[in-house]
Amino acid sequence: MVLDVTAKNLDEKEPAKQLLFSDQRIWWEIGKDLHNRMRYGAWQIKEIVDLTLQPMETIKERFLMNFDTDIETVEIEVTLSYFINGKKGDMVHSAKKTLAYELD
Amino acid sequence: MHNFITIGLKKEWNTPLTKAQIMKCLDCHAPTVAYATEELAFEIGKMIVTAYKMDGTKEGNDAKKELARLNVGCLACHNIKATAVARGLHGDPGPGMIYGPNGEDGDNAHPSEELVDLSRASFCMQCHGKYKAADGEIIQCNTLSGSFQNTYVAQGGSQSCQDCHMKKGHLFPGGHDLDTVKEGLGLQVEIVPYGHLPGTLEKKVKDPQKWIPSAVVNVFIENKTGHRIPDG
Repeated sequence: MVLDVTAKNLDEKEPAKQLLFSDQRIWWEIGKDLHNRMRYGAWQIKEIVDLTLQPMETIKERFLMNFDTDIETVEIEVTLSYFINGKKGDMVHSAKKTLAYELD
Repeated sequence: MHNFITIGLKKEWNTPLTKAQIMKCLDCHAPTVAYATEELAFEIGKMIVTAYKMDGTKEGNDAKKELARLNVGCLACHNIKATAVARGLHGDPGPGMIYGPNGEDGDNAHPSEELVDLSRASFCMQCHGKYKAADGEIIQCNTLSGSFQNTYVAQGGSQSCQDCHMKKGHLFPGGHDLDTVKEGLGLQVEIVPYGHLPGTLEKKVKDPQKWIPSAVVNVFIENKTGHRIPDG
């Protein structure tokens, strides 16, 4: 499960230069063998390192972003994706908000 | 399973492919193989390798087609695994008997017997958790039952696997079904804009005399399911 948080400068025309902030959190399970080495094979995995989100748990993540002093309009987007395997992921929930700053 | 046979058994364990070894996978992934002879189980193992290695060729496709007949079907749960959670009490499953939680007779298509076990989480936990093979080997495809029992139930959770994963009947929606994933995960986002005090950041800005456009984003993610996320 992956949480992505981005902030984009909407006044910037070139998409490649729009990104002002980007961060990510990942929840997953690491399988390890008896020598504490990370493994993928079910026959190799004997224990786990549990980096998942536990049942009945609400987790809080906080992101602080400081932009440059000439930034006027920022679009902040939060997406939560679930990966059924390493290759296939779907966006589960998302939220987006545009902020306008008054420059003095 | 291909990797288990060609890497696990062959290279790492230096052990021949036998029914006992392949059942470490197939007891859950194709439980009907439990009734196969040693020779047939060996052939099925070879077919798994062919289906993977020769994928896209006639030989590979033929092997795939044959293997598809062994998929987890009605009998896997309603006969083969039905009595296993309480084997001492129920004994082996009866030949041709279809066990169900309410004992409905399926329009006389087959003999039926009521067995409440099929509606219990412990029934699903036979495969959806740490698996212990007949020789004691621990196979860990997934660990879901651990977090169900030791975290969810321990905190007072009372739903069973079937309560959520049989909402669409025998489609068993789970991680492959986006609606089910959406139902199990909550997301709340709070975005707070503010102007940061000029001259107080290490980060260089174009005009250090000006208020710095800033924001705090608080994200709350809730696991509403009865098990860890992700898991299988």
